Amino acid sequence: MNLKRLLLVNKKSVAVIIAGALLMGVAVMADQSRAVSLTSVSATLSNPRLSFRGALTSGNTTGSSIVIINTTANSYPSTSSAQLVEGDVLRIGSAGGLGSYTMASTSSLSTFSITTGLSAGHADVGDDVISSQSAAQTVRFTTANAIANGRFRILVPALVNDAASSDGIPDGGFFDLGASAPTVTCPSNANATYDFFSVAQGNNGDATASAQTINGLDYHVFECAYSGTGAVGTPFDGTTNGAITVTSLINPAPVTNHTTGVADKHNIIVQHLNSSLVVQDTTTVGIGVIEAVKVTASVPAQITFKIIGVAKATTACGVSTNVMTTAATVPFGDVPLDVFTNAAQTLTVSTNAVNGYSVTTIANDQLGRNGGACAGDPTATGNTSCIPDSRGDNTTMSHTAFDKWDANATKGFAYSLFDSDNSINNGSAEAFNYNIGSGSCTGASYCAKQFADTEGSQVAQQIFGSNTVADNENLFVCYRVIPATVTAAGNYENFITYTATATF
Amino acid sequence: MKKSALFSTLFIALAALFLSSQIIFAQSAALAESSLTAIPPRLGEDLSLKVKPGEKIQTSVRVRNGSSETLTVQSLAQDFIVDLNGETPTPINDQTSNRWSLASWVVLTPSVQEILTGETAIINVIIEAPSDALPGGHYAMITHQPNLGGSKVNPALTLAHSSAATLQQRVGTLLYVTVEGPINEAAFIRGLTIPKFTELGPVPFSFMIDNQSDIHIRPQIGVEIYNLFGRKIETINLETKNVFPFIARDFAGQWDRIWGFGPYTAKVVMSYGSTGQLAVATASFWLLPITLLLALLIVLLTIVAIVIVIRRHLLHRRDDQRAKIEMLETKVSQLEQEKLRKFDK
Repeated sequence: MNLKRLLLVNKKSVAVIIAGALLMGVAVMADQSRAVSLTSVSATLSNPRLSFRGALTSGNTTGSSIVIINTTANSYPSTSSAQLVEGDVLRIGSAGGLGSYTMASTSSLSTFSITTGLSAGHADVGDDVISSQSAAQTVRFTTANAIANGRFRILVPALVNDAASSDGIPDGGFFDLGASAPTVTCPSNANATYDFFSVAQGNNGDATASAQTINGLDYHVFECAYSGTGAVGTPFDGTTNGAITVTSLINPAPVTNHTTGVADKHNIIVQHLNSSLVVQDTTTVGIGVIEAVKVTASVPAQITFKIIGVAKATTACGVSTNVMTTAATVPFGDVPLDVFTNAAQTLTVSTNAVNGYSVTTIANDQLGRNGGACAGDPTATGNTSCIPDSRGDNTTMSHTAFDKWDANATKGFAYSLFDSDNSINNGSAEAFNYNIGSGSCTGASYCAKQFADTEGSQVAQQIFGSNTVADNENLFVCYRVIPATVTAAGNYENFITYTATATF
Repeated sequence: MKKSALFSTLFIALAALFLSSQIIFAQSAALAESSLTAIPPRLGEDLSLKVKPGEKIQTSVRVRNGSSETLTVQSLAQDFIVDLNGETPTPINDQTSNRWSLASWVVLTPSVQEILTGETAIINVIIEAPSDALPGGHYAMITHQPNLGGSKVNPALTLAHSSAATLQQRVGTLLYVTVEGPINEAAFIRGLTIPKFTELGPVPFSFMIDNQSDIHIRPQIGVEIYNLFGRKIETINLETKNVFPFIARDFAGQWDRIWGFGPYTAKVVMSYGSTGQLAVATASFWLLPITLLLALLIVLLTIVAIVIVIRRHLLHRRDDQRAKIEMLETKVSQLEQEKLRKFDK
């Protein structure tokens, strides 16, 4: 009976022990499951550019604004001037004697220009060339567990050497804390669950250089402590509650074997500690640092000349054109004897040349039958194989003098000009225009000139130009032809050359 | 059998070549817009292209096809003359060598090339100065033209199916080459013109730079203005321009002063040439708002006259009143005397 009772008691004890063990197991399991990662963790840099840390090579001289850097791979963290952009502040010199300079431009991977000359003592081989890039680092996360009276800790990769990791000089592959400790902004209070300590209370925004070592790597430590019960799933995302921000950290210089254009990845560790400073939750996030995207363009001195065909029935020089032209031809086609055939083209010039441009024109000859020569200018009336240059209604037209040409009884070929949109607003503009209304063209509705003629040993004539830079300055060149009744049937043609150059 | 196959293949290939060239040609001829860009517009104007007689140098220019189609572009070197205003380079086809010519020394490679739309092509410029080249400036233009619809240079491309004017579009780079040796540099300022009398500014001025050098010059010009006391009160720097050898080029500017008082002297100071030679010209002029001063004088005189008139009027009135008082006093005394006389009686 006693034995039975004893066995019964023992069974109860065993049951209790087993139950206890199970409970302990559950508790352990529960504890293990609590150590999940913080969620929605992100770390962002306000300026993701790499810092520059290189060194001078030989060939630099005091007073020169050309700086030559050492480009031997991995001899220094930075070995390419492509990492720099115009306006970057540079420090050049030896430790303790760095001078401040401003980046002007790069001319090659090894050479760049600064806005002032190198001072004495700043041009020696091996002198530091430094350009720091600072950024505000913002860490966002959501808690995984309710931890009372704990703290959040941000770990940022740091150089092993404590002094060098916080000297304000960029470190290859590591963040530098800066000569003075950066500012850490902790989240504002999240109700009573997370009551962050004030600065006066301490443990608020602590920043310690290279204070933590994990797996042989050193980290700068930034902490935000709080009182309160904590809560599961509280977002510190900068919206619902504040995020943690660390300002003025100096971005790393490139890592060893850095590839230009490929970001160097650095791991940021976010930890949630309990009141005994034991890490409860840990999440690691990557952050990338890369060279600035350099956009380059060069604008050479240049002059652009366009010839644009004009559609049939376009009004140009006060008349409607009868044929469509292309950039290459003015195809008059079958030309009637009793009415004018009008055509036009647009000439356009753009240039950034100082003192402007000039456009001249000359024809190889007058319109000759099947391209044949037309001696004289204009050709003798009896020459039936040419459409000679028009003499104008007042018979004063030449390649240098304009004349009225309204009467279709006046036969020949000539041109006129018109800057229909007043685009040429400097200098000599167009040489004349169809409605100039002066001299021989007084009262004329169409004023024209002959083309200068190589066959007649004439010199090319300027038709428009400008004495300064030009942006799409353009005009109509209008062609008019009407053959005499004695003109032999056939195809008539000539070549007209337009030449655009800068002024001398 | 083999021969006939070979001939057939050759015939088909030639026919295909002919047809494709016709298609390309047809496309080019109908091109609505043709755009070419010459880079740079000037090369060597800073005297950077120097060559010794008998020596060869090389440089390059570029041309960009801004058209919507691939273009076959021909580049050629041409001599040019500068018109009388010293500004417009006019190409000349005359092959006769002149003192300043350069084109015959220039070889362009490639001289013809196909340029894709939006692409830029480089043309190497080889300049070989003959051993008897005269020291000084030598000039040419390197022009680029698309073979669109025909060309005297390339008659195979000529369009001649109806009456037509066929165009040659050329855009170019001006080339300035210096042949080293004893180079005479002399230039003068001529025809300094300033209005002798100006009431209100700005005061315009103009002059010519007459370049009598063996080479073009790019003068640096400042116009200094001195006042009545010989003190320099302003310097106007003018934008420089190239001046072709043995050509005079116009320069103009203005002194942007509205108000002035008295005589002034304008001194044009020009430095030019490789050794920084100087040329000076002076002219005097008046800047005086004479109409305004006269008007002020008239107003002042009018005021003085009015004051004098008013004063006179007041004095006259006072005299009148005094006379009246004296007269009345006389009358009163006479009446009193009469009254006394009557009383005595």
